[in-house]
Amino acid sequence: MYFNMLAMSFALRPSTKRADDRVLFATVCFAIGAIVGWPFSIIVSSPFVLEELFVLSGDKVSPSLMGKWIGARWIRMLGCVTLAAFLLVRPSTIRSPELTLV
Amino acid sequence: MFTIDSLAYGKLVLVPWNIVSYNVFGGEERGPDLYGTEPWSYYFLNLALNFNLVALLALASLPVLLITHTIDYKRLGLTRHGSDESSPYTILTLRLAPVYVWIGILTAQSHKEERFMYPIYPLLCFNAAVTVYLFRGWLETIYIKATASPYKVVFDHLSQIL
Repeated sequence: MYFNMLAMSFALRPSTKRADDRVLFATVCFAIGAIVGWPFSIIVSSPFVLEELFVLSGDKVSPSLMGKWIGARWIRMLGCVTLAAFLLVRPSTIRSPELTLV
Repeated sequence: MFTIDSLAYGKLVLVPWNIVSYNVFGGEERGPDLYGTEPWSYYFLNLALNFNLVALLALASLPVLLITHTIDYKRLGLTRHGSDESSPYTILTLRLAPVYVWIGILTAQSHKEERFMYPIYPLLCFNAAVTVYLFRGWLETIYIKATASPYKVVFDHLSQIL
């Protein structure tokens, strides 16, 4: 459980270079590690999140375009987090008596 | 997952939330301290026991990076980064950081268990590898300065051994 998120921080290695799939894989892997495994392990993802949201890291952005670039990064991160959450935590509204296991 | 847990317990339950709420908000009678507390040195001793030299190398990686920044700046890239890019040192620091963050936060908790270190085991190996690489870079730089060699890269028998 613990290992899957960390071994999958393979997605962390390349820098953020307009690499949407890298962000998605890393986010989903951290989410699997945290939700299926141990919630506190999400702490390990905090430098990754900081890098995604605040650090240039592979992109070349002139100062005038900074605002748009930061907006795009935050939206990408938010999108990946939402997708990961949706994949792993699906609310259920099953209420029929036959399905109760007790 | 949420579905299966709720069916098993017979009521709406979100397991990860319960884990967090018990351990963080437990209070005195409940909560993790009930299960034993350890001094701050626990994780360092434990990692030294399990990882020997690798633990030392991994924990040394940020200081080593700082020294490389001072004496061997070109190690992470021959051309200097522009003002519209990030420094490779920033990027590498962010890669090395999770180990320190994790050990720091868990050492601050009084309840410690060896298995809490498991999530960073692969990252400790990565940090140690970075330390070894940067250290070899120092040796190369020192060799070049000491022998006043015209070559920028050392390529002889000694470097092949080291």
